[in-house]
Amino acid sequence: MNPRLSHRLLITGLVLLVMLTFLLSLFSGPASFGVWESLRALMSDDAGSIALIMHEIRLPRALLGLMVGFTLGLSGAVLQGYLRNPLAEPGLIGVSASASLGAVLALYTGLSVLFPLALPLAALAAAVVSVLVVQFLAGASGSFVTIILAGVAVSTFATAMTSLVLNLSPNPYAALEIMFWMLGSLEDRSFEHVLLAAPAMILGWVMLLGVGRGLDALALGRDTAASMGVNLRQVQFLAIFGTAASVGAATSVTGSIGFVGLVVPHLLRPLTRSLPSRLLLASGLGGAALILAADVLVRLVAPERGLKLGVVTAVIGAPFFLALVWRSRRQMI
Amino acid sequence: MTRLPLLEVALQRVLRGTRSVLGQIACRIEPGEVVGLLGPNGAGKSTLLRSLCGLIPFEGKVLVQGKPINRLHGRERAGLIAYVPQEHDVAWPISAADLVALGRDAHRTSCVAKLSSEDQRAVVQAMERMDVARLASRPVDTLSGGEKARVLIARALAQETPLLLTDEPAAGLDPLHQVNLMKTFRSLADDGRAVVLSMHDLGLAARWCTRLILLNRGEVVADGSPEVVLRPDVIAQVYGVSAYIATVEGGLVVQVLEPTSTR
Amino acid sequence: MMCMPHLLRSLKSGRFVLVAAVLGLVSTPAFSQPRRVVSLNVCTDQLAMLVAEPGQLLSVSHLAADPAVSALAEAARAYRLNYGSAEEVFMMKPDLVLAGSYTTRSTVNLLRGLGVTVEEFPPASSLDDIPRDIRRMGQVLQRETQAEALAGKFEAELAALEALPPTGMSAAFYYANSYTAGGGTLVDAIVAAAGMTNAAQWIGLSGTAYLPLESLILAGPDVVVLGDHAYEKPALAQANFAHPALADFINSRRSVSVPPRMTICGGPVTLEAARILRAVAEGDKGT
Repeated sequence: MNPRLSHRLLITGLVLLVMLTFLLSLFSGPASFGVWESLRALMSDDAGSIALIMHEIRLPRALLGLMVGFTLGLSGAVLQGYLRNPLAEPGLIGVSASASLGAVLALYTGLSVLFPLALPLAALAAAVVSVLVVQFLAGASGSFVTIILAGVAVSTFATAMTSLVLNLSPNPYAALEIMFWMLGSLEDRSFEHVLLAAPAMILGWVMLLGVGRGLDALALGRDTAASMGVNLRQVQFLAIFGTAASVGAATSVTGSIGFVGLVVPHLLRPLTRSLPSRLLLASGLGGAALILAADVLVRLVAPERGLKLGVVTAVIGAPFFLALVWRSRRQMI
Repeated sequence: MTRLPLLEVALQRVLRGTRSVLGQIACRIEPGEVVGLLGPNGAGKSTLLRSLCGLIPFEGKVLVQGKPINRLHGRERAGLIAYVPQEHDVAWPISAADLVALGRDAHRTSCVAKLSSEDQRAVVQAMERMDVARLASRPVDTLSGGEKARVLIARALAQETPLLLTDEPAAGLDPLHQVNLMKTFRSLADDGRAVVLSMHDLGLAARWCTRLILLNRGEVVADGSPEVVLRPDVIAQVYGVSAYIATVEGGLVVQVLEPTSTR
Repeated sequence: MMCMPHLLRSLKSGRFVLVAAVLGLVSTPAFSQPRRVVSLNVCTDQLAMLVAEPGQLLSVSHLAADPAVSALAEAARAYRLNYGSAEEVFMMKPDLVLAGSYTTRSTVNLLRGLGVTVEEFPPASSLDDIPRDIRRMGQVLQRETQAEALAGKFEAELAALEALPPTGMSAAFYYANSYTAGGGTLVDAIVAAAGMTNAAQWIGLSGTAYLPLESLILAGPDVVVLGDHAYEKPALAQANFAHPALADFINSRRSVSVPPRMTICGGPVTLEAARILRAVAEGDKGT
């Protein structure tokens, strides 16, 4: 098939999938009422309980799921392309854990009460630091093992510090909230969260979507890419700050959700002829569909338990991770 | 049109950390030349190629068509110089055709990854030149080392630059493809372009390069036509091997014999 | 931790107790009035503070001094606060330890093994449990008269409250982390004593249960009871109170704040919670 046509088909298919999972997300929840009723309530302006639930609980939840999923899928694809490593993922290289730490610092010290934007900004700042640290530790070559080791180190440290901050909080509930920050949840998020995270997330997307061609060239190595006219500094800036901005903002309102950035690019890569530039949008859409579907699952499987989203994504993602490690191990031998 | 040399090099020094890996090097390269960079391991061939491409900082100047390489905008430079490094790792299983098409990125201004008919012509031509057209749909990770090397050179050819710099392009190729590669370089030179390649095969260098530059410990030892550079005493001094050199019809023949005791 | 198996074996054989007794760490079991009483549970803390003779109660748990969960936080500051570790309690040489039946299990077992008398009180799950527990506290502390006075007053007040006509309204508690109290809980009994029905119960929840915000809205109780303490620093657990959907929902009905210290433990203050609910149901507008 014509490659351009097949790419369009893929994107169209993914958009449809996102729309489908978005609607499913809107229609699932502990309060059960029919699809038709939900739709009517969604469109109406009245102040009935169903309209209230649809407008202020389900709609922001689904929107945030879409945005966070897009962020994770897109940033996973960009990080993999930029680090030239299929294991790169915001969760694995410590960006998510660090963003959590930043958000936790802003939230539990009460800073975000005085200045709401402190929440995404602190997460963003911590995320930037973590990518820089991982990159510094892994060195220019960015070999497989060093990136993962550096990621583990940064991730573990950030998680431990998050735990410390939560433990030291004078609020007795705080200590129990490490789960949210480690596994993520869309439970009862509101439009306030959407608005708080949206600017940095969208800014991040714009930056990330701009690096596609640079990533294609980077597939051939840094020198070749530079010789092909790619501004490596610019690509680095866009990839790192784009990831930090979008993942930082997403994590600051939903906690860190693992594996999406790993699984989605991996699944879609063969369908995009392995070209990083073609993977970006597709991976973002795939991530959105995956998070929305996982969030539906969370509410279907154990509606009364407040199951964390990261549990579902890990159940799906961990086998992929193992398969990737297995394959790369064979390649190294 | 003023006659600016295609490439004018006046390097003072290239440092790696605090260690000097290249000393003073001065040369001019004109269209129509196929320049072989010779020298033992660690002589500075790769460093020189990377300096010429503006990939690493250096002291001195490198002018491409009269313009300092390190002041050129990335895209502008990519229109003048194509470069193929020694390492042939490709991060993703991209198809050969897609990979070669990446060479056209330097000429595209829009963000849309769409190939114009001009781009397509260049891609097809480059692939045919490197005899990889039949590999077009194969992912590069399924290719043999030599096939992959040829695809990567085709990528650089598709860039269609006046100057092509390649680091040991002949390594890993079978004799037929080695000769074809050198013939391709010669035909590029005949079209008015120039090729600079590093290499270890003195026989190949002797027969196909129009000019050789022999490096040793970061210095130019000899620069000139193969007949001038490839002399038994020079080879013995630089490489530490004795060599049999003869002139046959169509050019020079060089065969390395054994280590000399001087080294 | 390494010596745990050994320690346990010593405890079983009674040798450890013997050694401890020889060292004078354990007072002889008191058939007379206990004079050195240590309480480990925030509920027994409060009952004991109300019933005990001055000087009889040696130490209460640190939670007793936390105004978020204890109705007698002020008074508790006068006592030595413990953190419920066996070692700490043992060193106080208590002749009676009061504990909740579901908390600090390992501590209680360890203390019993060391020969300390431990009285356990199950948490109150109905209003009738409260005078019963007060009387039992009177017995174990040998302060029956004081306990009887308290229990009698409680029963009279409860009877007065229950004599009022039902309000015909429903209420739902909405706690931090979106938790509520369903059927079979003390809160359920409080709602009933206020002449109301517990919305969480009629949507099928029992015990302390998760109540998603949308289920709360759909259940549509007449009164939403927000029971939480404003802590010095925020936590996500209380973020559900800031949800705009909740704000919109509450706008159209009544809401009231009942501090958890009134509902966590059964005690005289528990009726205060019922009276607050009753007032909201009868009043024109809640707080």
